[in-house]
Amino acid sequence: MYINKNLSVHVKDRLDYCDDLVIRTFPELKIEVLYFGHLVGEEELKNNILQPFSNTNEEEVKIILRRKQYQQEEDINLMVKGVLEGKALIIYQNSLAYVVDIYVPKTRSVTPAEIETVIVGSKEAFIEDIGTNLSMIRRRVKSDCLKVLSYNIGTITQTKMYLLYIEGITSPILVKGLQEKIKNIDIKGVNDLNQVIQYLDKKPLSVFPQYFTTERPDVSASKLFEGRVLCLMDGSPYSLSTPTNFFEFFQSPDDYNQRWLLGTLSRLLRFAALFITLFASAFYVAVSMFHYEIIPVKLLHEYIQSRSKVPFNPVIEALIIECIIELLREAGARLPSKIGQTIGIVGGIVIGTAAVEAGFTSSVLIIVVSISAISSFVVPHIIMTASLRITRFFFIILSSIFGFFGIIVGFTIIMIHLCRLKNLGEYYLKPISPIFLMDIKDTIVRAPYQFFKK
Amino acid sequence: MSRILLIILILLVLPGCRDQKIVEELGFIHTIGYELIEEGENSGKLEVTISLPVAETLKQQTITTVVETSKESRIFLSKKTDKNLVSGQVRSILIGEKLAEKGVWDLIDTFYRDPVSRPTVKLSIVKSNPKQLLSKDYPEYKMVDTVIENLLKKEARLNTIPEMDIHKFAKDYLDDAIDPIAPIILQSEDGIMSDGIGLFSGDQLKTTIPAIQARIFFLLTGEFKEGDLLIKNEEEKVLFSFLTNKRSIDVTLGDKEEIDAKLSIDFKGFLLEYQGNKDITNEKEIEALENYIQENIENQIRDILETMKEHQIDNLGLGKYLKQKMDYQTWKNLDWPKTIDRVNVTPSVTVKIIDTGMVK
Amino acid sequence: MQTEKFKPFYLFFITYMTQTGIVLFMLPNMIANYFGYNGWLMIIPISVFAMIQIGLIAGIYYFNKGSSIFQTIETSFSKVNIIAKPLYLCLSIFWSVLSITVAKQYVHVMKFLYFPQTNIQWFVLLTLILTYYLVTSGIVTIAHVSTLFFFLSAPMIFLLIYFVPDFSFLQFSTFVFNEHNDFYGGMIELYTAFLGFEVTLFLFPYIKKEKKVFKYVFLGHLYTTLLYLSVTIFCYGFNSFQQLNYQVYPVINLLQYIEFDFIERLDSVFFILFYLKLLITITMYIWISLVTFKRVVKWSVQRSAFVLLVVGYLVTLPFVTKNELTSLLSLLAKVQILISIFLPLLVLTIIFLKRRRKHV
Repeated sequence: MYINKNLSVHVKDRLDYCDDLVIRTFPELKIEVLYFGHLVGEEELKNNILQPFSNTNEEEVKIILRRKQYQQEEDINLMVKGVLEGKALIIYQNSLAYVVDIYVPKTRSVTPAEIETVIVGSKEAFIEDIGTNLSMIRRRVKSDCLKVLSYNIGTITQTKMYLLYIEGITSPILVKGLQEKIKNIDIKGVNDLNQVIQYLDKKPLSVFPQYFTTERPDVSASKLFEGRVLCLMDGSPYSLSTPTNFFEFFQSPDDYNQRWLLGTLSRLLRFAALFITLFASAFYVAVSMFHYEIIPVKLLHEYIQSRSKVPFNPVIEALIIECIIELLREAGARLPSKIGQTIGIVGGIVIGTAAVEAGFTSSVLIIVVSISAISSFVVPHIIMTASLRITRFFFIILSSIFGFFGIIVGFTIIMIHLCRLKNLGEYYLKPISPIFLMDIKDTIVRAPYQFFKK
Repeated sequence: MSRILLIILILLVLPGCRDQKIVEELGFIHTIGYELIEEGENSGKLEVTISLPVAETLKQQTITTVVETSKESRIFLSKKTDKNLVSGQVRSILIGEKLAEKGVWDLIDTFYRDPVSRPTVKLSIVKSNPKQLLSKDYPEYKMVDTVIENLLKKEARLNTIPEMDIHKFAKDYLDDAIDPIAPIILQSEDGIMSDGIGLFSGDQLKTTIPAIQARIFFLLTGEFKEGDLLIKNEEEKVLFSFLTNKRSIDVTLGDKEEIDAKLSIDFKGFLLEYQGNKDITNEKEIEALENYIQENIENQIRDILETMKEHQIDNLGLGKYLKQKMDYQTWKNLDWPKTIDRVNVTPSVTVKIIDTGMVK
Repeated sequence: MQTEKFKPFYLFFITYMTQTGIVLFMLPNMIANYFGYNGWLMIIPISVFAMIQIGLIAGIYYFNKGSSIFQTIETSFSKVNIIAKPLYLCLSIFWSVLSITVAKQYVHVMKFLYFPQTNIQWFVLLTLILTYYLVTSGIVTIAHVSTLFFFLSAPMIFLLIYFVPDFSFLQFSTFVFNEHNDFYGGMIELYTAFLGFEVTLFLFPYIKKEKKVFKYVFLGHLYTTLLYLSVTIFCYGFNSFQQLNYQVYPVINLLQYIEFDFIERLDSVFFILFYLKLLITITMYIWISLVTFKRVVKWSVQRSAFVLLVVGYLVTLPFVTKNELTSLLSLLAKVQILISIFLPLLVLTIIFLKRRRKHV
């Protein structure tokens, strides 16, 4: 829409009832300045608007407006958009419009990562401002090959999104694939990158996360070197990387920052935790309901004694305790961190002990369930942890129906499902199935760097 | 299509499985004792005793019944308890001496055939009545059955009785070159004790080897790895501790019916205790002592072999060595172990005393 | 769905996973029964014979330059379709019945061992649904899944280490093939244990063209042979020969013998874990059945797979008892042997005839 006359009226019309709009006029210069006071920085406002226009006369205005930072704008839509993005709109003589970027977002400063904490390594985490986030990545990848493509998504929110990749490492097909997917998202608004992911999912019914998100800039940067496409979104302290595989969720920067032996062992520990968290409770149910013969005699006596007081069927018992653990976890997550810890202690110790003493559950089950709960938190990524917890219930129910056979059937279904999952043409279980022997040294184990391919 | 299949899957799964064996409803039989009744109205019937832990108190419950065959015992026994009796946790079978003399394969086959019971179930022969052994109240033991299990395990490690389970018994029973053995336990006044090895011919108990000779028997089978050996007569008493033991059996077939087997045992050890009139600081005397031990062991070996020949059994597995030297027809014609008489076994024992202890 | 190709590397896993099945659990007994003492030696010549068969298939692959054998058959004569189409249909149904019989046999054993009161049909239907899910995922996914399942089930072989202390070379004896019965029947039975490599005949269009494609099939076959050999040798060394003849599932007995401090009776865990391997076997046969079926009927993959599974299920429905299943399976396996021998020969003949025609 191009309008030359009465520009001021038209713009004001569009921004009608936006009472937070600031309008400054310099009548002697025939200049009107429009901006949102809370989107702009005071320093920038002073430097670009107040100072140049207050001590000048009509002749000089034209020269000032020729300066680089003032961009002439003819489309009224772009003018409005500019104002909404934190630019100041300068209307000169009610017919010429200039925009100047004085946007300074009011966000928190960079803080240490809270969810994906590490022992050794960088402490930074992304924040809500996309520019800061991008700067954290640029600072880590000082290369002209790092390309950044910009998008806006959400028809109303117009949220800014950056798509990052390294030219020469990332396959162009991936970039194109993700580009298309992002363009195809048709929504009115998004708040967080984790919402966008769910629109991108190829198999929405799957329990497993199909895109990898992280709040750590160092992890994001390393995903770029690995040839992945990275996505940042304004307002979200997360980055998305794709193609994702299952094993990424079991890696932590600690594996790389610490010595390889420790890295390897902690990785193996996490995979052991994966199996424990999935199968421990189901195994307990299967053993108590079907396969009693596998209990060694030394454990048998204590076990049957603790079971003998319990009034419930083992599967009901297990589900009750699992639900209690979930309740505790949810309560802990919702409460402020200090109270959350207390909840954990109260729940874990008090309820656990009381439940056993009251004959509500067997002590063996308390051990099994708490081990499997602890194991689930060994997995470094909270999204995967959640998936595993849900899967655990599936296994418990199956094992109560067919014992070990039920577990194996469930396991088979999940394995086939995982093998079928694809992410931008790459298989989800990539270095294992399809197998790439070369990649295993950085999947299941973390070999010394000298062994990595140059 | 996949939705339909999903619905079928759910429908399939909902009715569940009928094989639920929920732990608290089960009675885990720990030990089963069998004995033959020879007197009274039930003569010829089996007396079956089981022991199981009571979950609530962790005490032992003992139930006895008299049945015609072992297979029907489960029905009669389960009438006497509130639990579902299961055999998947059976750890040992006690067989009364009288029954063992009649033959035990039927019993063992029942267990061996059952997919639920395990092949590692320990087997032992009870000299007294298994029922009395299991049901007598020993105030110091909470559960007698576990005590028996541990006793068997410990004594087997010390090489006074063999560690015999269903698998091994079946292995030796079915093999044509060896006869099975089984440990013997006894109810004594102050508890339970092991009492040597029972030698079987086929599945029938023939004779026993006393505990004192049992270690010599294990020297012969080559299973003796460590332990003490007591050698004594009127004058001398030697307690000898083993370190290494090498055993080899060398079979040579003679021209005629003669079969020679050279049984050489080579072991080293140190002297733990010596009571006698030899001076064990003297090298020559030590040599004499070695010779004395050698002779003594050789004599004991001859005794054991004599016993075996007398009953025409081969519990040592000499047949296996014979088999290696023969062709199939000769072996089949041999009709082992009835022909064990034809084997001349020459034991040759070499003893080496490494040390005589901390003091002179 | 099937434009994707997989690397020849996966042929190793597919071959091995398709070959081994429930027969592994009975193999030592089967060998002892048919070939007598030291019957494990027979595995080698039979394996070599199977290897010759693989060689033939490899030959077809090279002459065919990796194109589908259906194409070769269909373009051989002008009116070949009149014979080929009904033949395809018969083969397709045959394979579907074969694979479901294999599944049923496994399920039967599992039911007998661990779920004696559950209706066998539930397990069969569950298996069919899983098979449907897997087979409709396409051959590339099947290859990937079989890789995964290989790594999950392959470490089981390390359990054999547990038996090293009890392993005795004396058990082998020096007799070779004595006490065998039906030597030729046994050879056929043993050969069926190696069946499964012939599915590679249908995989040609799905393999990425690389050098030495069939190296991996040979390796897979060698791995199967190695597994069979090691398991059988361990069974011969752990059990007495007569005992081996007596046990129906010696490998399950072997697994039952394993006891750790924290877990015992691993047989149930491992036998059920073996289900993964079985699923690949069934899926591969259903898959070749599906591929053949789709040559005749132009239905969607989902629909054809469903129909084939239902047909196979209905045909095998009347066979319930162990003996019925065993005899049905051995009959089907014999037919499959004929197919595995004559199909490659037929295709080779066609190729040579075509070549000759070209030269003329």
